[in-house]
Amino acid sequence: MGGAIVSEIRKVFTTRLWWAMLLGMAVLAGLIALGFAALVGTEFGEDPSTGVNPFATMNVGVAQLIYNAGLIQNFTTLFPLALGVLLITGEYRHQTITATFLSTPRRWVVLVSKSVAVVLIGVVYAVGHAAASVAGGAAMLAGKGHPTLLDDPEVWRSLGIGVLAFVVWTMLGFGFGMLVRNQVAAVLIAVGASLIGQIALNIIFAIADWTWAAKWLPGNLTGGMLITVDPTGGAGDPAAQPYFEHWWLSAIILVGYAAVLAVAGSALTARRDVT
Amino acid sequence: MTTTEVGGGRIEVERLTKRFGDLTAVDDLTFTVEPGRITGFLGPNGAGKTTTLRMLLGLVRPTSGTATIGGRQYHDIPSPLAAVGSALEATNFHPGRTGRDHLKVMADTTHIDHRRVDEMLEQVGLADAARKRAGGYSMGMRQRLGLAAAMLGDPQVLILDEPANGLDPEGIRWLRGFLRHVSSQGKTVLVSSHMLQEVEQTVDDIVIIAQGRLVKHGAMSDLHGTGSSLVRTTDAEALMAALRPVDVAASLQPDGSLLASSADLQLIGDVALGAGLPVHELRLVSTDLESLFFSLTEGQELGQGAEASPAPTDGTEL
Repeated sequence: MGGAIVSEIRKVFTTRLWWAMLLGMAVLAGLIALGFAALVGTEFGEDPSTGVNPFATMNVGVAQLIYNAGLIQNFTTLFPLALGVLLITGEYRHQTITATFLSTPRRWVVLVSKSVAVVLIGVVYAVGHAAASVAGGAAMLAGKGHPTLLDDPEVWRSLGIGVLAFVVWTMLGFGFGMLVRNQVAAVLIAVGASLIGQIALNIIFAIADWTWAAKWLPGNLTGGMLITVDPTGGAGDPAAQPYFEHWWLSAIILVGYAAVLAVAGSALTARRDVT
Repeated sequence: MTTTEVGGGRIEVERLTKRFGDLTAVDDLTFTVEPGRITGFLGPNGAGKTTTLRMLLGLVRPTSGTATIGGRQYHDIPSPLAAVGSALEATNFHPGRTGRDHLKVMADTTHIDHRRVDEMLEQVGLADAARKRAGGYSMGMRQRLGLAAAMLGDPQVLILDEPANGLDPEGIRWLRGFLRHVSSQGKTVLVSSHMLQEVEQTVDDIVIIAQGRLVKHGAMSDLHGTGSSLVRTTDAEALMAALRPVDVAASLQPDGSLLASSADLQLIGDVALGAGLPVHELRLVSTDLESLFFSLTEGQELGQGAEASPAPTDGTEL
């Protein structure tokens, strides 16, 4: 088992994919955080539908929003998602899955080892994302004379929960990739569903006033995990937020989604002929 | 590195069948591959060779029957790379990963020292390209990398699917030498090909399949020996008729001689004597294996034996 895990980890780090995507994601995360930080103290951050401006005054909730801005926007989540899809579908596309199963014919050992590698690369991405977001966000805040609040434990807790978010999003991609296998189709469907699909559903649920349903969307679950302090300081109506009351409830549901995909994908992969 | 025992390294395929939907890719196939010998696994493209090898290696689940190596199914072999080396297709490399990293990824699973990786790269002549991405490798280099991967765990059994594909004549010569060297160490070697001439000079035994069924199985020397003989007499048609009762088919050649489907010169001579026909010439004709292979496989595809076929197509062991 140990050998298979080392092998799977080496696989991740011996092609350019991981750092190319990490670099792209970090740049994007830094810029989005910078943009969010620029809204602090202005009226441009006002939510037109509710008239509430979460960026009105700098507080811990706003800091959580800024330092996880890419994830809250449901934009940088696409990177771990796509990475997870690519790591497994690449094995089928380049037929390296043959060598993998010949080296380790007990497939569940391969799948568990791959999951360990997926968790590890998820953590690496989380650290890269946090570093870039803090750099971009804090630079803008400091430049505008706002406190960065980087000494607040609630801010760090949120960044810590971000690690879990990254692991889960990578695992979502990994599980989905096992189910679809065709690389191009899997990436397009996964990214399309989580970007366009979620935006569309959010709009539909908002129009229908189905906040309860919107809470179950993966993007909103991610937001619910990361924002543990209300940025509006009570000005907004908490019931209108598409977040569950407790961050851990969001986390459990999101982990559940990833587990269902990974288990279903693994069951299929373990049985299927490799031709 | 751990050494894994796989019995004597004998490969046993027994009543192996694989159906994909309506298509029967492998049909009740039975044969054995002996240690210390190179066995050619031959058949036209689409005959079921790759599917058979993939079932042997646990990648494809048989519909029925078994395929074992040293009495064990592949997934029951504790450290398979140290027992069975295999190279299935020359395209099985991530184009963005270096040849050396590809081998390291495999070596990790079986705790094989990374020095062995460099040794193997040296042995197959890839040391210079080892740190280059495999996407830039030529077909010949991929085949060599595949062989290096197969040899990584110093296995007792070597299974190679079309290793000569894409090799230039020099590469094929190199491959022959390599296989000879490996089998001289007492290893079991099973090598598939859709072209007889690629392996004709290398293999000791031969397993020929077509449409998933066994066509012929035996030692190469015996296969050479299923020759026919040429006989010349005054009345060829009469001799042809006299040979029929002893199950020897004969065909009239343009020059008036007969080509008889038996290498038993004594039998043919006796039959001619019994029929009161003079024998003007009687000699063995060494069969061209390529045409034999062609007729065997083509004959199966056409349903029943082609007329030109001088060899049986009943699949009996020789």
